[in-house]
Amino acid sequence: MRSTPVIFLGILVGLAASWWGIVVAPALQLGAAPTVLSKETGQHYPPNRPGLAQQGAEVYRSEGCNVCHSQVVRPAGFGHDILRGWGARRTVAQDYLRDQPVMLGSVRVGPDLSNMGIRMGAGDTNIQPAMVAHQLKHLYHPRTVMPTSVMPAYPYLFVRQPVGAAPSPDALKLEGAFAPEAGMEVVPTPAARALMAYLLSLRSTVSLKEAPVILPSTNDVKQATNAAPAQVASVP
Amino acid sequence: MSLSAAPSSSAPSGAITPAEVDASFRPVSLFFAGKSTFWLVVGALVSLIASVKLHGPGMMSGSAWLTYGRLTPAGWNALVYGFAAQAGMVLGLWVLARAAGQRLQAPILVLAGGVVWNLGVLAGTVGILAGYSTGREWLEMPAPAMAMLVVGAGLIGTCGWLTYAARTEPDPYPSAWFILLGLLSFVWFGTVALLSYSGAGATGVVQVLVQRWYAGGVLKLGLGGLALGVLHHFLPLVAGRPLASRQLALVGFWALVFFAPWAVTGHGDPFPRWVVSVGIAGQMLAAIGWLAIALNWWKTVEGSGSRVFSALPGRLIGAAALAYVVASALGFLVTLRGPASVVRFTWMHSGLEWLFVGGVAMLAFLGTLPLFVEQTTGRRLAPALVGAHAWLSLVGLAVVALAFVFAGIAQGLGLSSGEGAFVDVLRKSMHFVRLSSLGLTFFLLGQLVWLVALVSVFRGLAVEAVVTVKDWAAPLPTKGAVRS
Repeated sequence: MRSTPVIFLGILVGLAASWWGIVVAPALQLGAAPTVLSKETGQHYPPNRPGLAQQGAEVYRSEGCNVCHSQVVRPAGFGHDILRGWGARRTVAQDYLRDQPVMLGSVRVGPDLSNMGIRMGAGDTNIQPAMVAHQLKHLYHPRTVMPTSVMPAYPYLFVRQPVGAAPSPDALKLEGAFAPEAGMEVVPTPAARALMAYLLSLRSTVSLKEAPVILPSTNDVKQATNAAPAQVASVP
Repeated sequence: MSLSAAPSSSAPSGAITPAEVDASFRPVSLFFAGKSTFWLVVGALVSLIASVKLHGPGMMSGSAWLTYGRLTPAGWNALVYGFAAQAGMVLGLWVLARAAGQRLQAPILVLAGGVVWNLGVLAGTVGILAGYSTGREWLEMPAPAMAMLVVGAGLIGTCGWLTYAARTEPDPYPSAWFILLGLLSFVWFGTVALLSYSGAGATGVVQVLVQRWYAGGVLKLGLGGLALGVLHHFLPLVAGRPLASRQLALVGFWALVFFAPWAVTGHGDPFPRWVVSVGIAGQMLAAIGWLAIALNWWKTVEGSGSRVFSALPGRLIGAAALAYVVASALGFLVTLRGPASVVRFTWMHSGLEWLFVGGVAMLAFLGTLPLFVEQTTGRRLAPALVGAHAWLSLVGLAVVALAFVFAGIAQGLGLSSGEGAFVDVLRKSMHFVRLSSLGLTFFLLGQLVWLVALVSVFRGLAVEAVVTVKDWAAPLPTKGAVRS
């Protein structure tokens, strides 16, 4: 350890080895990973995100939603992610193929969002509109729908404006202390709408070879812990 | 064994004295002390505001700049890059120059690097607050800001290597290796991460692997290397005994270099199975490193623990060394399958980060920064202020780190019991999280005290006198003959 080049090269070899093992080798394996054709849906998985949802991903990134929300479901028997209703199966590398950036998150101050789209009834015209309205209210001020929530309010993603000839169709239905003064309404900005489109696009339920969906018996499934699905019935 | 101030018999005649080394830092010391203190106060304040917002999530919600998801990474980046890395680099250069028996080489480059670095931190934190976060932890700063950090670290690091190459001490103290590793790590991990994300770079989960590899590298080898260098230098000094074993330091060093950066994955991560296994194996093997370092420190301070903790800076140095062992052991423990299934994705993550960044790096640097300022400027800081700063920092950081660790355990046990809604489990863990706000308040108060002490030096109000510091101006205690 007397020679400067020995230390320098030694460190460089050590650091390059981990780079090769942790970054380069996985990139060679996964870098060209193709989408897979799902037999269930007949579509390629993961699908491309619609443009609005992609804009929503930028809002998610910009506001730092990943500071509190994870997007990873751990396998059955390892933690209670599946039992908590956060996904029908674990998430695997394939699920993140289209994400840029991938925002796995590290701390769950809020519930996991890997399958938020499923919980919001994405594509189901009976459920989706009510759930989107519900989630917009939640985003505007989480305590309007969940009094004990610690999630920040995002009033700046909404506009308070005078009611026109008729109320805007997507004006929030706010009550009590949260309601705007008479003659005013609260409507989502394009950013808030994009964020909803992004949340609707979060679905990791296609059965994959490396992560098959095994339907659990209903007895095993504890009540889903994100309050949103439980409150669907209360949404007008 | 009492070799505290005995001149090293092996020092070659005509060697550069520690006082000359210190004098060579005069052009840069107040710049780095001032800038890092600025970011320290900013980071502590922003982190405290973010923490308080968890108690009242409705407050200050009118502005996007003040939302929790932006404040938290902005505060963390200010603390990590603005303070810890910046103070660590200049303190590391100091320890390196002392160990090498050489004046700081090319101080103008160090200064230039410092200017670029600080502009980068400024652009980065403002960028995050303005909504330009990259969404990648520890790499949240927009790419141009991160590139400035890499350039700054490159300039500063180059001077470190130049100083080491020009050494007069034939076989420097082991602290030097750790500092060299720390200086190189910021450049290496930063450069690779930036290149990986540019152009047709990493896709899918490889992005996460790059991010975790970067964060782990900057944490354990970058900040860790600098902190370990400082601790290897000062722990023997405050204990008044030579470092017990050069061989153990060597084992600890190479295990850190070769194993620690692999430890980026945990059970259940959505990566190919072999990557997960390799990452966990890396974490296991890295234990060789921290165990060797811990054993070496233990043998060094054994029997003189009361001396270490009896005064400053020993108290903070000792606490930082202790935090290193605790953080490493806890990091090892939560990688094991059983504990991991409980505490993964809980506040434990924040707890470990605070334990390592706050407990190890910040305490080591906060403990030695006053010493550095006094030695290099020849002005004495008010002892009462330095003492108050040390206690507030120590108590504050201990409360923050432990609060998050216990919050993580409470949250993990609650979630894995399968009982109770998520929000109810979270609320139970929030009792501990609130304690962290108290800790951050202490910490911020401590840094304001430090700011006052430092400003008095800037304004020339402090007594201008060459500090008589025979303990600190002396060469490191050695065992006589230098062993290779």
